[in-house]
Parts: sequence; structure tokens; C-alpha cells
Amino acid sequence: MNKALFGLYLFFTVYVSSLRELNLLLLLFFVLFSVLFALKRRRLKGFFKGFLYTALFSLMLSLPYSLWSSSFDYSIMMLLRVLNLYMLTLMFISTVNLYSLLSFSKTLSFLLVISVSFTLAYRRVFENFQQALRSRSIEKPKRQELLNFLRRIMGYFFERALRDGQEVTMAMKSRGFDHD
Amino acid sequence: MIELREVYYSYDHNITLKNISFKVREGEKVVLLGINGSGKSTLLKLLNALIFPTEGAYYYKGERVEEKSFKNKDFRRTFRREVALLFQNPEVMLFNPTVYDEMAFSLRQLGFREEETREKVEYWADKFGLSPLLKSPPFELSLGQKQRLALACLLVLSPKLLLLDEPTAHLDPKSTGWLVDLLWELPCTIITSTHNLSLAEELGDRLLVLGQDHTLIYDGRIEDFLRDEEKLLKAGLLHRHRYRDKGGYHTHGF
Amino acid sequence: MHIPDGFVAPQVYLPAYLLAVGFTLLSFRKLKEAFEEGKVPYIASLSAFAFIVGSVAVPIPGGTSVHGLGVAPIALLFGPWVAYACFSIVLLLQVILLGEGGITTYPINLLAIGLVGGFSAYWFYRIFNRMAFAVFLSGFLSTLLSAIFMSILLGVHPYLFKDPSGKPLYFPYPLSLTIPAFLLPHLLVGFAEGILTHIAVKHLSKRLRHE
Ligand SMILES: Nc1ncnc2c1ncn2[C@@H]1O[C@H](COP(=O)(O)OP(=O)(O)OP(=O)(O)O)[C@@H](O)[C@H]1O
Ligand SMILES: [Mg+2]
Repeated sequence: MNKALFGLYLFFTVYVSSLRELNLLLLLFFVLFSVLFALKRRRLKGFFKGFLYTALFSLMLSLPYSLWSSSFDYSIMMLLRVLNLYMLTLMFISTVNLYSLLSFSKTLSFLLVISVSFTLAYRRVFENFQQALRSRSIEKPKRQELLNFLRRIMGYFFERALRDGQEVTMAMKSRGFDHD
Repeated sequence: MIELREVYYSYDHNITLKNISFKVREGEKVVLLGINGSGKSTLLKLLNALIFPTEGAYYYKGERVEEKSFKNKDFRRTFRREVALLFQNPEVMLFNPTVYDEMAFSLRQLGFREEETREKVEYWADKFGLSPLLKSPPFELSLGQKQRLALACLLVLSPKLLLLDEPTAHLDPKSTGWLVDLLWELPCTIITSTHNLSLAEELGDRLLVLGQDHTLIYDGRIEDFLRDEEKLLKAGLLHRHRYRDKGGYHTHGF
Repeated sequence: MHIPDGFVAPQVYLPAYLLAVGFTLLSFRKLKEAFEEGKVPYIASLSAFAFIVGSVAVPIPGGTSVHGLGVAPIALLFGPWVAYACFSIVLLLQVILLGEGGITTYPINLLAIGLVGGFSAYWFYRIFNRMAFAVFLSGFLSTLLSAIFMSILLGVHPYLFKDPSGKPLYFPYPLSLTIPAFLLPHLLVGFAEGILTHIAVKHLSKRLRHE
């Protein structure tokens, strides 16, 4: 089921990203928009923020060209295409569990899961480092102080990465997981 | 000295502090108790103005503390100088090349002359047993030493409000005793977080308890709380043991 | 460098996918040589490391701070294949966790950063080996090269894809605009990358050899 949805998603992504007819793009826009709304709304946290952000971003890229060539069709086509792709992706990730897509390979899904969990953990510690710097700084830190801070951050996460890599490797071995 | 009024805080969409209100007067030694994940660290960061209430208000010396208050240089200077937080993980506080530089960091920012800086650093290094380590890089110390160093870095500034996030977590019993004595000597207001019931009594005379539901479920004298089994259970600080202990209760001071 | 989905033509991103995924598989195979056992946990933890390195603000002269790419430090510490393998994950994490980049731009970013950035950093370092600023330069120049690669991939769109009236169908700006528009901000990014690379090689590689 997930794989079928994934295939469908890929197909539509390629299809939509090659569309150029405004009518078709507009039709798709309304279809996608209504489907998204029909889906449970609480799964679409931050939908509007992302939507607006994506729209603005697209306009930022395309408007200068439209102004220069005074063909606003272009900006409209890009805007619709970008938003359609955005909604398509959102629809996909709000219905499909990304990890289950990798279930065909134990190694790959394991890789993704621990990468995400390491990254989330590191990000939180990194945030703490930044807060500690803010907390201890009475004045705005000088360049040299920031460089010291940077060096420490890199040193800390470098060592932590080596240690975590080693630890998980050993843990895997002790659980008899050493095919590779 | 500080006051929280109906403060809420959420990370993304998860409420971590719920309707918290209390005042702390100058010179009080307050203990903040709560189980893992109850929001102790979050509350202390909020009091240190590293994060700001999603709802409600925080006042420091009668002034409202908001994100925009920190645009005012004088306020920022005063606040950062007077309010100090010892992070739960002391490692995140240490980033200078040597222990000496680490302790001198804030003093140098304040523009102290090098002799004055040296004098202060040496005084506190001696008090904390860090003198032999002044030239080594902080990241080479043991975790307990890091914790002591991080605290020493805060005390060189003589803060008015000291926020301590599980300051004894990495200390051995001897250092813990030493720290408890030291805290009572300090003239400043102190808020210490812990999940250790038996230590709570030694760390302060007033108790704030964060419940599992992220609200403030107790504010008062420590002894009264320890006798109130209902509240202890609610805070998740007590386990009911059905066998062995004659069906009674059993506290866990881990 | 974030271009939204929709500006890149399938005729570009589909072949880019083939190439990028091919290199990913190749890099995973190469890694067997780097960490004989348990390469999976190491790729994961080093990717997390690379993620952080790419997200820390680097102070550059003039008082501002910018982010580097983070690929050159990994390439010089662990070799370009490890860097490529890590970035195939890091860029995926940026999509999942930060919502930066999209499904059609992923292979293009990966080729620009992981392949061009990582390998050129490594080769620049080898070429400048004797020079005082070799490490910094390798971070700096590899970033510029990566930006140039990206801007060429985008800048060819208006020549290749337009409707009969000459209206562009995808990315609209010609090479003469795209390349400078990418290069200028990447002078700063490159500077940051140079500093990151310098720190990595001067302060971290020592500890690596002790392992
Ligand atoms: N940076 C963050 N982003 C998202 N959620 C967070 C973050 N920091 C903490 N949390 C969550 O907020 C809740 C409270 O965390 P907090 O660290 O304040 O608890 P604590 O009482 O200090 O716990 P502990 O005793 O484990 O230190 C937890 O559920 C935690 O997962
Ligand atoms: Mg905590």
C-alpha cells in the first residue's frame, strides 16, 4: 500500500513538474487543495505557513523575470506548479510513514532511523550550547570568543560522533547483528 | 525578586509548563522538584530568559522580561550579569581553551583588568579545588570537575540570582556535601532543581514541585510536602510497593 | 541554494537522480574499506556531525556570521567518499527535519555539494598541499565550485526548455545572470566553509590519528 502510494506520488511529481498548461495546473490546484482539506486537518500542522512561504519563495524567483519580460503568465505558471508540488508532497508525507518505505532493506531503514535520532539528539545539545553562550555573555561575544565556541562545538560533536558510532556498533554486535 | 504570572510554555506543540505562578523573594533558597520530563530545565531556562513564555508574564525586579527587553543594552547587561544558570549538562557551558580562560570569560567581557581577573579567578579556583587545573583544557576534565568548573565560572561574577539545574548530578557524595555547604554560604537567591527527594531538604527551605501534568502542584515548606503522601504520589515521586514493604509506601531517593 | 520544486525540469532531475543514487551506492560500497565493521552507525553519527557543522553560524571578518556547507571538513577528515555518503543523508534530513529543499532538487543539491563540493575540496587540498592556506582554500574554492556547478545546472534551463514563443518553462535566468548571482553570496559561504575546514583539520584530525 505504502509502496503503491509512493509510486503514485513519484508519477504525479514528474507529471506535475512537466506541466505547462495553466488550465490544467489550475484545475489540479483546486483538486489538491480540496483533497488536502478533506484529509484530517490536524495532520497538516503549519500548512498555511509553509504554503505562504513556498508561494512567496516562488514569486521571489519568478517575478523579476515577469517584470522584466512583462509576461505574467510565467509567474502564474510557476506559482501554480510550485504550490501543486508542495501540496502533493505534503499529502504524501501526511499519509505515508517514511520509514516504512525503506522496509525492503533492514540496513537502510536502520540507517535512516539512527541518523534521525542522532541528529535530533545532537541538535538539542547544540541548542543548549548556544543557550549557554547566550546565558554567559554579558556583552555581544567578540570574534575570537565566537571562534573558540565554534572550535568547541566541532570538537564536541566530532568526538561524540566517533563515540556514538563505536557504541552502536558494539551494541549491534552484542545483539548478534553483525552482518554488514 | 522574581515573579511568574500564569506562565505557559510549549515546544512546538507540546505543553511543557502549564499555568505556573509564583514569587521568589530576595535571599530565598528554593528547591524545584519534579520527575524526569516535568519541565524543570525548561522552567530554569525561562527564568534565565533563554526562552520566553508562550503565554503569561515573567517579572525580574518588577520589570517584565520579554524577548524585546533584550534589545535594551543596559537591561541585557544587568540581567545577564545578575542572573546565572548552571546547565544540567555542564559540558555545554565550557568552550574556552583553558580552565583559566573559562573562568575569566565573563570578567573580561565586563572589562576587568587582567590583575583583578586573575585575583578573582584564583580565589574561586582555590575554593573549588581547581587550582592545579587552571592551564588544562576544560574538555579534558571529568564530568564532576566540569560541573564544579561551570559553577565556579558563574560565581566569579557574584550573581544575584543563581539557577542550578541538578547541580549534584555528577558529583560524588563528598563533593555533594561540600556543595550543599557552599550554597548556604552564598548571599544570593538560589533556585535549585532536583529529582532527588532526600537531597531536597538540604538544598533549600522552600519547595516548588512540578507535577507530571506540568503544573505547579506544591509551593511551601519542604517538611509538609514530604509528609503528604497524596501529593508525593501525584508528583510521581513515590512508588507503591505491593509486596515486601507490608503494603506500605516506599520512597525512592535515587 | 534552496530552489523550490517546480523550477527544475524532469529532464534534468531524473538523470541527476540516476547519477546521485549511483554514487550513493558506490560510496556505501567504498566505505567497507574505511570502517571494516559497523559502517552503518558511523555513517549515521558522522551525518549528524555534518548536519551540525552545516548549521553553526561562523563568524567572518566584518562582524557577520554565515553558515558553511559543512562538506569540506568531512571530506578532509574522512575522505570524499565518506563525505558523499554522509551528505546523501544530511540533505535528506534537511528535507525531513527542516523542510529545506524538495524531492526534485535533492539530487541536484547532492551532486553540487556532495560530489563537486566534497571531491573538489579533497583535490584542492592535495594540489595546494605545500601552501600555508591549503586547508582554508580547499574549503573556500570547493564551495565556489559547488555554487558554479549548481548555477550552470539551473542556468541552462532557459536555453533548453522554452515554449514556441520563447517563454521559459522552468528556471528563467540565463547563465550570465545565474552564475554571478550564485557566486556572490557563496564568497561568504566559502569563507565560512574555509574556517570550518581549517578548524577541522587543525584541531580534529590530530585526535583522529590517535584512534
Ligand atoms: N529543545 C526541545 N525541543 C522539544 N522538546 C523539548 C526540548 N527540550 C525539552 N523538551 C521536552 O520538554 C519536556 C520537559 O523537558 P525538561 O528538560 O524541562 O524536563 P526536566 O524536568 O528537566 O527533566 P529531567 O529530569 O530529565 O532533566 C520533555 O518532555 C522534553 O522532551
Ligand atoms: Mg532537566
